[in-house]
Amino acid sequence: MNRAVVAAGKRKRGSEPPLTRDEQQILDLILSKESSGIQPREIKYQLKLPDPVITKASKALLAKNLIKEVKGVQRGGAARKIFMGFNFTPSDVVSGGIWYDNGKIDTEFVNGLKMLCLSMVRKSKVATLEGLHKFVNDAKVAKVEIPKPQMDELLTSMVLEKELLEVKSTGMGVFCGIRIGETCYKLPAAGRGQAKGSITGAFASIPCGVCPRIDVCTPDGVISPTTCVYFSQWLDIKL
Amino acid sequence: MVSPHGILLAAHVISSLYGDLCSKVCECLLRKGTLKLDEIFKSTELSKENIFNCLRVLIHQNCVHAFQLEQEGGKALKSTHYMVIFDNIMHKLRATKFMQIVSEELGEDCQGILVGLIQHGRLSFDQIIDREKQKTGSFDDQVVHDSFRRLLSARFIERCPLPGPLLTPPTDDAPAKKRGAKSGEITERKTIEQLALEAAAPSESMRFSMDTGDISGEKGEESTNIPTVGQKRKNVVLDSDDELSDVNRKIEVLWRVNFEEFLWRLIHKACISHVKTSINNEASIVLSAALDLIGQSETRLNAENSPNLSINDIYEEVIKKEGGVGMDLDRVQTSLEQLGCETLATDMESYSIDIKSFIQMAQNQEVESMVLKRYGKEAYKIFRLLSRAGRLVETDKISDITFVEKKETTKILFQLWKDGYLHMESMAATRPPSFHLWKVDQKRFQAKFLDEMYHAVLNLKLRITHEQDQRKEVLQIPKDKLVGELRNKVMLYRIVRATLERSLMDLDDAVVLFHHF
Repeated sequence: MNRAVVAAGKRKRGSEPPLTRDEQQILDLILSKESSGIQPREIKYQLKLPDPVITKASKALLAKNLIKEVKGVQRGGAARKIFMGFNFTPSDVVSGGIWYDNGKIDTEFVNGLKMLCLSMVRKSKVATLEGLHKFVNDAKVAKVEIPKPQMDELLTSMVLEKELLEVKSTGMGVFCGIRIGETCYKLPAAGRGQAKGSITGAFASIPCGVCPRIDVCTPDGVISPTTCVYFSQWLDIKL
Repeated sequence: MVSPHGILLAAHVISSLYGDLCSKVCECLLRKGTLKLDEIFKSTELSKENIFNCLRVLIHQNCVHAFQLEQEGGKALKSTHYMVIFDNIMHKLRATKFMQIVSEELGEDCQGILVGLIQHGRLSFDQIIDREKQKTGSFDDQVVHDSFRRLLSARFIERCPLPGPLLTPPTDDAPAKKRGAKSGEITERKTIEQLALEAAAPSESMRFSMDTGDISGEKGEESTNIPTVGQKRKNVVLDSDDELSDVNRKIEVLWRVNFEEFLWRLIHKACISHVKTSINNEASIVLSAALDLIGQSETRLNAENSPNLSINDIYEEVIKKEGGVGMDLDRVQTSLEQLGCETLATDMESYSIDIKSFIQMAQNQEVESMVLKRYGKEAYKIFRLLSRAGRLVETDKISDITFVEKKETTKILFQLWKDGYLHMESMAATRPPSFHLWKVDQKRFQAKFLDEMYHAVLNLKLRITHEQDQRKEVLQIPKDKLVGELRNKVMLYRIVRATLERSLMDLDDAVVLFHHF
């Protein structure tokens, strides 16, 4: 693929103005990164070129369709602009994989799959990763097949949300036919999938448990239990 | 070491029960640790007489323990030290729960005796009899005797510890931790306070015995650390407060509430209540039956143990329970599996009951529900992930597993870290941005969470006092004059107070789980 792109570049050079030395240098670096692409600041770091040169060269390369700009998945809080050879497909590391769309989590897709998994677990009482993987792919809700590791990620997330409960098969009762010790998923007993950690503890049931200012609350301070607005709201009982 | 809000709460409890002077002495001991009378005098600037009287009250109320320590330079020299027992101060908050347990299990007569012991701290049997005589017009000696025996056999009350035994100070050159030569286990050296409590504790056989023989003689036979009365008098007395550590020696056997037993019941109740809400009622009945069986053995508070119980024994206990009559062996077995109890490899009919796991489950729920309510659903997922992982996890990995946007993940992680709930490690990359790794440091986290709960208990208590003060005038109006608006005000106060007190009791149930495990 790399060679094809370079060849395309050379072909175009016949009719269009040739690439400058900086443009060629930048293009070579971008193409060498293949499907991982490269961020502008990485280009700057590696080629020791000033920002305006990189901006100008990348614009020229984009205009000539030699490279493309891809929105990478956000890392460390910052959105990522990535340059990649025109004919490359972004790798999962760049795009975020099947859960991401245009650099952001495809919430609608994820939630749809979760609902599907819940409906199967509700129906069969317990389900294994294999069972759910087959069920979801057979349902053909996604354009592409969902790989097993990604299915595992989805189920882990549901366990963390307490939408599902992770249990080990005992081989008896509802686990009949499932290998003893195999990890299974079932609905949590309380609320049957609706609770999602809604059982509130004693501490979280009072204002202090949810107070963002508890660290500055003192008996005689500006924020105190006697002047606390959260307490007043909580105890504002009407007869 | 007691946490900052634990100290404030304990000082508040003592102040409201025994006055500000006692509270000052208590707070001084809580902040500075075990002290001698002179040291308390220097720290509190109270008169020695006042300190002496406060210590008398606090010792009698089982909040302070006095012990004697040999001084360096000669075996004949000794000094009296005072250590505060934080747990016993906290148990003062639980008096109503203790009374309710006794009332439900043993009846009103037993509850009457317990109330006396809660109020007075320590009483001799004769004092208990006298108190009952004064309280009720028609007094039956045999009823008191029987009630007392029932309390004793249920281990709700116990013999008081012996007066201050003479201890030798620990040598400085001894290592704080020593490694077992073969096993590689680390053995923590006991603190002087632990040694003092152990030396003063009556033997297990005498602790719940009504035999009122010479207590100092009985213990003296078992431990060479404790001098006999005659020996003690020959020692050179350096402290004028020597009498305090000697407070019981010349009087008859004293009795007090056995907090350990009540603590077990409260933990038992908290675990069952958690199982009832998180699994189902049948599982809670099975757990209750299993805990009852464990409660009859000696393994109870040692949560490290996972006692093994036969399914038949559990079943027999289950059918004695309300709601357990209709259950069959299969349902008991299903419930045990739901509880996560595993059968033994050697005996498929016996289940290992891991008490610690139930306590852990109840603790997790308490913590996670706080994170959910305070920081939101995404933070709840992140916290649960890190809590389950028990190791450092990188920001991007957290985001991938939890399906939370990278930007949001970073924001939540930093917020939780800033509030002291997470531990962060930065890995310097060849150039910025550096990686951040996160984990829940369970020990630090639990200490912080417990301190916040103490803070909340204190706040609830202060708010109860505030509500009472606000309506002081209305509350003094005689009942027959309470009409219209005034009546509503009093009714409202009662509802508010009941809400606050119920929350206080519930919160204390959670404190018990975190403080002792």
